[in-house]
Amino acid sequence: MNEVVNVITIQRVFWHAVNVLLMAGTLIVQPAMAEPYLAVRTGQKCMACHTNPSGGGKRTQFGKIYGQTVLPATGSTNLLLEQINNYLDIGGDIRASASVAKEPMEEDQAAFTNDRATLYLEAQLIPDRLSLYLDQRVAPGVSNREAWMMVSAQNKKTFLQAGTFYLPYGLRIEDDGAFIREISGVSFNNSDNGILLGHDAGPWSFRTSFTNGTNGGAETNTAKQLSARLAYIQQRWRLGVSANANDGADAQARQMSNVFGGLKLFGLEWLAEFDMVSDTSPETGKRRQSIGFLEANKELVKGHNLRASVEWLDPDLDVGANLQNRFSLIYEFTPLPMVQLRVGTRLRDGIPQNSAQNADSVFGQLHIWF
Amino acid sequence: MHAKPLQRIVRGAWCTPILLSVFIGACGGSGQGLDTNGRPLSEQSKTNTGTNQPSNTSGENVFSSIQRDVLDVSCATSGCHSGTSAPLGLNLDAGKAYANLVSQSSIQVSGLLLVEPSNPDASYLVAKLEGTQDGGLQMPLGKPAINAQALAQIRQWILDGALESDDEPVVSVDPVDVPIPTIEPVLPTLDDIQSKIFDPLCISCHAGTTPSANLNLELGESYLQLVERPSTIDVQAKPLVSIDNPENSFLVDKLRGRSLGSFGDANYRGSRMPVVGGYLSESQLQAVEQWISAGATEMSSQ
Repeated sequence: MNEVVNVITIQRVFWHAVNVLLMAGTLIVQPAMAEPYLAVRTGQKCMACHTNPSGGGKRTQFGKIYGQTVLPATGSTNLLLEQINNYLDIGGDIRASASVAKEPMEEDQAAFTNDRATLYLEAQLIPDRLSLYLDQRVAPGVSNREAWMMVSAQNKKTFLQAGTFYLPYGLRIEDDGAFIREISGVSFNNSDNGILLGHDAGPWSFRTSFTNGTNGGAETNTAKQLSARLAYIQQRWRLGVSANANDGADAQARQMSNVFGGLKLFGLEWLAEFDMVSDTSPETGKRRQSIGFLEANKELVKGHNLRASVEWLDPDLDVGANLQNRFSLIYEFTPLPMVQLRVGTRLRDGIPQNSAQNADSVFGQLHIWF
Repeated sequence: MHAKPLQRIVRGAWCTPILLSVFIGACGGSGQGLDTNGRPLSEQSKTNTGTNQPSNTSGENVFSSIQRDVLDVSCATSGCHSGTSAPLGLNLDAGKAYANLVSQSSIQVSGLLLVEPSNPDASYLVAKLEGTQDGGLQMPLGKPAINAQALAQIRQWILDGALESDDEPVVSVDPVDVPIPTIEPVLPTLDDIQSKIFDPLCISCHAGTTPSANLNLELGESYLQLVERPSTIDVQAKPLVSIDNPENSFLVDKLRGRSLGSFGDANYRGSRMPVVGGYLSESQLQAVEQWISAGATEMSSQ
């Protein structure tokens, strides 16, 4: 009996110590992490937790409840659902970071930054049929990220968006520094103007958009960008494909395609994506790139998530000895509803003559959302 | 009692070496035969063949070194300010960066130029690189900031006039024997204004059967509707274009955002134009004013 009590005591002391250390740790620097792992963990589509049927941004009531009861180490019974009335709903995210970056042959950099403060507004002009959505960054600087109107059929199984939005393509992870986000240019830093059509039928989810292809810049020609994403979602796995074609000015063009998926295996949530990118321009001819992403998440105990990822990039398939890699190890601690601390490290490995490709960082982040 | 938390930690931790071991054989490239941007050195040899090397020994011009050492390395990378996916359309590839930066209006912060020649403190490019910008995020995004030496070089380049190429060497000749030609300035014509300003920036709103403010700026309509014609919204009753007098032209007021008042005031004269796509650069504004000062003619100059 005394041995059992001692084991329980040791466990409690251990986890209390971990919690205290993590809550006291303020050296956190890291742009936000991939949330699709939560979709894999719950077996849900992105639209279950997010107002935007394509994922990201403001959370639905279910998403808010999940974030306040399931995600944190200590859930809440007094839910804060921030709904103004039946027609207006708000949300927000604030991410503040501290980082230490080490780049070969360059001076180390250590900085506190306000990564992003974002406010969301959803107006149900006609509930479940006609809505207006705004995703506005208010710091640093003020800029609009998404602004669209959506007409939808019952239960949003079919919908049409018009305005400014993120493109449907691949895994919509939060880490815009990942190769699959940075190289493709499809990230939370780039939104485009156009229309988006979506349809969900059972486990199938289809999105396609027709946009200017200027990532928010002025349109100076008639060329447009077409993007499409098809996914099949099951409780323990999901698989999808995406394609994107963008004709730009001066005979420039880009085509991209990928295969992506998620899997629950060995108690882990796995995410993976493989991309092929082809750029054509009169100056450089045709260049092809390949990108890979693999991530594993493990909920150690409630409120504690460990994440590891590996990425690779071949920036030109016709050139050898130019491969780049990126490794990440991140620990996420959600002590309370709507509060998350992250600590981690990223290691980059590229050609030795480019110091930026070999920059490493230790990071952390305080993330508050509602 | 089972040590479940510890077991979970162990199970979670072993995924890390598995992930790493999958890719341990595919570490970063050796870089053999490549330049700092990962391009084959042989590409540079082909590019340099036949080019005119400067007669002086100081090497490439300043902007070329900025393009090579800063823009190509940190900005014009795949998925960023390169090619068709360039955010906000700001393509900083070699051969395009200069035209897209110098005297071009910022889309994120109205009233600022990305590079204002001779004025680095007012250049939005500098603010973005230094992290003092009012809009958007510091550049380069997701990467270490540009080092102080490179920033100083960019500032100096802008202060020196933001030239695309250094001045060519002056050839000394006997000034007595060489007549100095009189070069007439080439003034912008309505065709220039139409093709470079009205068509790309204005007719998205000011066109068709019901144009905004009842002002149609399409080809064939713009001259008739602008020159010595009153505006329907100007409380000061200025003509849209007053021949020879840009100061008295409402069009210039709207393009420069001059004396438009505040929304809700009795003297409000509407928003600065254009409302989308970014305001006109200083060179574009001067082109409009020069056209008006030269008589605001409809015909092209010979």
